[in-house]
Amino acid sequence: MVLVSHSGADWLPTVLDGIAAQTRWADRIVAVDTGSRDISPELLTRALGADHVTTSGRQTSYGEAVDLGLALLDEVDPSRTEWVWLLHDDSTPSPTALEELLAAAAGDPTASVLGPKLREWPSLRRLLEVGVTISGTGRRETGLERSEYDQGQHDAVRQVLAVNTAGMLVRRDVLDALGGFDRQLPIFGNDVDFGWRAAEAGYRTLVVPQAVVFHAEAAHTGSRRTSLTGRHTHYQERRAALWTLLVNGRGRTLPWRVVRLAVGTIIRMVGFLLVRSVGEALDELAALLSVYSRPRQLLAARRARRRAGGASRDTEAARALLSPWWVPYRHGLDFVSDLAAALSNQAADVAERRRAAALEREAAEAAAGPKRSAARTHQQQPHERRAGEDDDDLLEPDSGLLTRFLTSPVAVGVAVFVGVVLAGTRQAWGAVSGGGLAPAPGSASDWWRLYVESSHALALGTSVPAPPVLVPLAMLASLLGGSAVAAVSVVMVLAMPVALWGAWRLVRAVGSFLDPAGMPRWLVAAGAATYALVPAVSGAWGDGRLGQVLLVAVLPWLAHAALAFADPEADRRWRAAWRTGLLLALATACTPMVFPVLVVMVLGVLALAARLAPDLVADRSVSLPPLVALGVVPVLLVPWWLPLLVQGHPGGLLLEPGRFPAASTGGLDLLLGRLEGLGAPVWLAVPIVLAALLALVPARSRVTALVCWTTALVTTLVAALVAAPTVDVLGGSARPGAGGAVPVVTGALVVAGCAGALAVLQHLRAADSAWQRRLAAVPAVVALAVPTAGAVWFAAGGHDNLTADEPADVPTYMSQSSLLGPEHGILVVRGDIETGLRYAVRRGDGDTLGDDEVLALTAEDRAFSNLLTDLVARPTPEAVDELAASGIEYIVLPAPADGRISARLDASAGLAQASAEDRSTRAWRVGVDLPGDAVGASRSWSRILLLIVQGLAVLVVAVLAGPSIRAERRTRR
Amino acid sequence: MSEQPRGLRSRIGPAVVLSVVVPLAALGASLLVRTEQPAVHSADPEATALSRVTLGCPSSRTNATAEVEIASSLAEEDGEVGVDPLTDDQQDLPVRAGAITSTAAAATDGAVVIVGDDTWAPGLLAARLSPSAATSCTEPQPDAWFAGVGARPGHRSVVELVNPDPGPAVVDLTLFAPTGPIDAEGFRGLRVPGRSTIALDLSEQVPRRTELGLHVEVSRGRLAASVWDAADRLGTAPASGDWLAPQAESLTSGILLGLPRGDGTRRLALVNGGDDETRVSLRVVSPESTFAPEGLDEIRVPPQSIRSISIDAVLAPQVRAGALGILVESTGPVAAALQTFVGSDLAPISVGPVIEARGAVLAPPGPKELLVAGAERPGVAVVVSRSADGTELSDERVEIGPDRGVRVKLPDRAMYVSLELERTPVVASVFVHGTDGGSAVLPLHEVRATGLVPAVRPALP
Repeated sequence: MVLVSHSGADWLPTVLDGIAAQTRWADRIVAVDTGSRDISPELLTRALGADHVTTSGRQTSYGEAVDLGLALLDEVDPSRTEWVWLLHDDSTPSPTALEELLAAAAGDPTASVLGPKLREWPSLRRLLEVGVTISGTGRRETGLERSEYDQGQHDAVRQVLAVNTAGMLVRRDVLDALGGFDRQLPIFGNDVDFGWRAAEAGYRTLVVPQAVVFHAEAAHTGSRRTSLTGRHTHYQERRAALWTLLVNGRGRTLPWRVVRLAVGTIIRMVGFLLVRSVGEALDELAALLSVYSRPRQLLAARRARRRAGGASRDTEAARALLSPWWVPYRHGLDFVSDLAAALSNQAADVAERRRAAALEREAAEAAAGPKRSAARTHQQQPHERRAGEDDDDLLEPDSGLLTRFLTSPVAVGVAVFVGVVLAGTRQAWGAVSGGGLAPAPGSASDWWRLYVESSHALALGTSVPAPPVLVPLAMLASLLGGSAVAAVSVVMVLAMPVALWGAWRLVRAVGSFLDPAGMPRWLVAAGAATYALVPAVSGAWGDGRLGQVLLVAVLPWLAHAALAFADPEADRRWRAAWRTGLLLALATACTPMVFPVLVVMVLGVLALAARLAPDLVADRSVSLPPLVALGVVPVLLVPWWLPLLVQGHPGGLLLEPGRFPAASTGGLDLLLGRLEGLGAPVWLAVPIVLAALLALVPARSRVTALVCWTTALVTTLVAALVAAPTVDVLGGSARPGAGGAVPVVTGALVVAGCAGALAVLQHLRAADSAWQRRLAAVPAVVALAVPTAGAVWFAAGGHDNLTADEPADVPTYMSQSSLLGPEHGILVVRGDIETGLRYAVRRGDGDTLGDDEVLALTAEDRAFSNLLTDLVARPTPEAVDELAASGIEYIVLPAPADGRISARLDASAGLAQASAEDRSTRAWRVGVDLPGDAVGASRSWSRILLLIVQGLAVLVVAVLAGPSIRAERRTRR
Repeated sequence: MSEQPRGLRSRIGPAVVLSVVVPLAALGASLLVRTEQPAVHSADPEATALSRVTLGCPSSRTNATAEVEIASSLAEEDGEVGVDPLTDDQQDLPVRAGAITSTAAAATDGAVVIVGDDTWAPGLLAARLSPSAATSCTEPQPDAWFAGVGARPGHRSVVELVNPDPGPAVVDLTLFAPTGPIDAEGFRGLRVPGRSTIALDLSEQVPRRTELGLHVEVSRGRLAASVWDAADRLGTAPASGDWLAPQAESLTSGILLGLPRGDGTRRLALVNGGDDETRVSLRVVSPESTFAPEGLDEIRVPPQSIRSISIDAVLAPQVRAGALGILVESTGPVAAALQTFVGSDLAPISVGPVIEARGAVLAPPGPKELLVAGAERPGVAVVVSRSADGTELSDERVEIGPDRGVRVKLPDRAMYVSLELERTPVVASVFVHGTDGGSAVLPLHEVRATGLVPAVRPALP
């Protein structure tokens, strides 16, 4: 038996006891200590005798250590050893381990390598490994679930690719024939490599589950750091896996493997970043670079294996023992679902955690005092809550999903509501435009290009930066296979369901702040549904106000993320900062006025807190996260606001995305959640405002309602400021719309209303008389009637300005020609002599989503306006030449064309009349060759620098905002 | 809510106060949110010196005149104008400031396009002149109305469309019969090739026994439209014809000036191109007053149709009493023309254009007078006439006033007549008594010194 030890004094006594307790004694035991810093050598010497222990340097790899052990073995007793049993200093065998292994070896004479079942130490119950193999991506596959308990479910002796070196029983001749363990793999992964080589050489490896070894996996979990593993165990493991796959894999698949592992590494890095494991992501990269940077060693190792295997090499035998091809994909799926679960479980209420934290404090303070009993009764509340929540939670946990769904009126109601809303969005199933919504461009790349360019081939050329809302839209479009149309459609269709989900979480969280028992689910559902309908009933959806629609979906998530600023844990408050910052940046991209609202709110709350609880604010982990959340936004949006300011368009910071004029709202319209002249009948919104007002009456909901009303007040004040100035836009001026205030105000009033309803219900439930209890039905009926009426109104349809394809005022053949290149522009001129002419230049696929916002802030090209004036005053061939030089191929006067203008253009020599479908539309073709460089887009380093800053900021913030999926592993350390 | 009655008084703390103040403040703040979009101001056009004027002259329909007379109301220096007979014989004709130049050298019976550039663009005048049949050459217009055209042997109208530009022009001709619009083949989307002219004899294209109304709408390119009206009273009188001046737009109020004296027939044609019936009333304009003659009721014109009535019985006594013209007033826009057939001469007159500041016209030599009417308020008109060589023959200052017309006798040799107005717009025509008993009426047109150039601004798509 060879025992290899390295600073294992914590475990060695138990291990030595385990060896001593073996029912079948090892004939000879030697130990190798590789430069322990603790008393391991003494422990070994004491147990085994000095001549049975050898020591070596810290840099000794496991393979070298085993060789030393074997040499010592031969030294101690030169007689030929038949079997060698390897043990680690952190693996202790159960008493019958060796006996079972030898029995299995005797039972199967062809077996050359045998391994025990490994169980976790110190829990002793969980399975670690019952044989091991490797997947195509280099993952160590045990075939076990995470933390699977050993209930004898894997107790059949079977052939495997490899067994762990902890407890491995191997024939001495086989060990020698295979040259021991690979020196390239000092600690991790040498077992898999060894097993693979053994299998290829025709030896059989068996796992014998009857033999049990408990393994602490000290090096793997990081509880033992050696000079060989360093701090980066993940790097070593990954490097070993890559090495094993590349040196043992078949030669003709090598190029494919090289590519696959490189791509896989990148995907894994993204995965690690998603769960805030930056170190492991870097380890992945380092491991890949380490292996790939030494191709000569790799090839040498491959050659060595070929030589060793010789003619009898049986690659098929090893391949059969590798894990199936689909395993990595299943792991990927598991990862994604874990991530989703972690993200949604994050909803675990702040309120609950605060209460728990308060109770802990209280309990600690009153540890021995009389208050203790009081604390205990409080502590039971969460359990009471579970019991008293809702009837549908009382169903047996194993009842089917469908049963649980169908027996829950709330679930059915919500599903029906979503169905009705989705039916109402039918106009947006597919290409949609109209109102404030320009048609989507051909593909996501158009958006990316517009966003990356520093100057655009729009109209007569412009360097106004693209609106920031293009980034989420382009990302979504890229995810949807590059279809921008699909992205717009998805936003328009799914915004309300997503808003419903977010609002549900938010209202529920607010409810649990107010009442430990939480809010009744029907009330949560009613509130969430009322809020989710905001885009529909306000008219924003029907008018194609994409920014507002998106804002409605983002806002409840933003508010919910911001609630975590009140979390008792500093770590969660910090995560709230990054999440809030990210969501606020998204919301600001949708409607810029949200940012000042949040700034005022955050500063106001901090100022108030500084007065009321100075100690609390003095704690930086309390006061800094909200400020960081605000500070993150300008960094995330830097490619938008900085160029706007530099180019002198500060007004652009106020403009919502969408066509002009912006949808505006004010006065009662704003409080009732309607855009001016749009949306559902106003009386549908009256109950919301009344409920929010009534919520101020009961003391229980007053503070919440006040917070909500203050939010509404701040929002309306900001809206008044935003809508006060007019902003110069191309060819005139426009007033920034305050439409973005509608979702914030309505959302706040809905939350207030729900809080009020909850307070009323609490009161009525506690009431003595039966009629008072029956009164509880009144708020219920109202709360459910409002969203129901809104949804029905919306689903009835016919309230929108949207259309599948807008009528073009440019003949089709012209728009096809304009796709040939930016120089094939179409000059569209409207108006008449008396009121003036207004021109627009259409290029490429026309005015698509994102172009309007850029063009709006573009300054007038005076030279071109003068050229056009000359042209309509007295057309000359020179003017026509200049027109061509500006990249104009066609001139179009859409119906009704001013006959005097068209007569002047008709009289011009260089313009040839062109046909149009509509006879009252007039068109001309510029009969001069168009220069290819008339209008061009360009990229600049400064823009790219800003984009890099933004990209890195998004990456960093997204990683910091991510959930901690690997918490389990950390706690295990 | 249970707390409310119990502790209202004791609970009036800051929270309660805020509960009242904050919602009210929110309401107040929401009222401060401005929603009105800044008005999109229409930009007024800029007046700039005309740099080019194109006049289209119809083909000569009489044997008397092949040449076109050219003059300028404003040119102060001699220059050149382009004369394009729509053949290869384009030429630049030297012209003398103040005088009338004849295109005798480039004489042609066909249509001619006259182009004045730069200093010879503003105030350019051209006309085909014979004492009994004269017409001004007109600038191409997108719209032209001709009331009372004929498509029968007795009254035959020829529509001539002159395209002065290199590119083709497309025109819609709409004919209105008493029963409604006529669907005439080839009259919609009629294409006139570049630098060419098309003449359509209505009696050949759409023979009809009734009077017709014609609306010319140019949808593409530029066209100068004119109508030659010929009356053929076989056996009773020699054939006679004259040009019918175009009416640029149908109006609710217009004046027909120039009523030949003598016995004959007078038919008023009224065209209603609108979709509603229009009621038309007539008043007679005389040097003393404007009044409704007895015996003439309101005339109803059905939508999209023409109404042609004889007003001989009403009008003849008034003409003898010195009436100058007829004021046509209607509830909806109409085009109107009066066909007077006195003796053997046909003299069609149409609603004259309003002159705001200065009008001018070229007229054939012979006895003539200037008729002015339609003043909106009392004002002064200065009438200047010149002979062909530019000699000023008369310079008369006349008082004009609303509700009455003015008749100004002009020297026989006068060929250029101009009218400068102060304080009021008017309608004016030169009435020429032909040597052969015939007459011609030539309306004065505004002298355009400037062209309107629209304000050009960019706009969002």
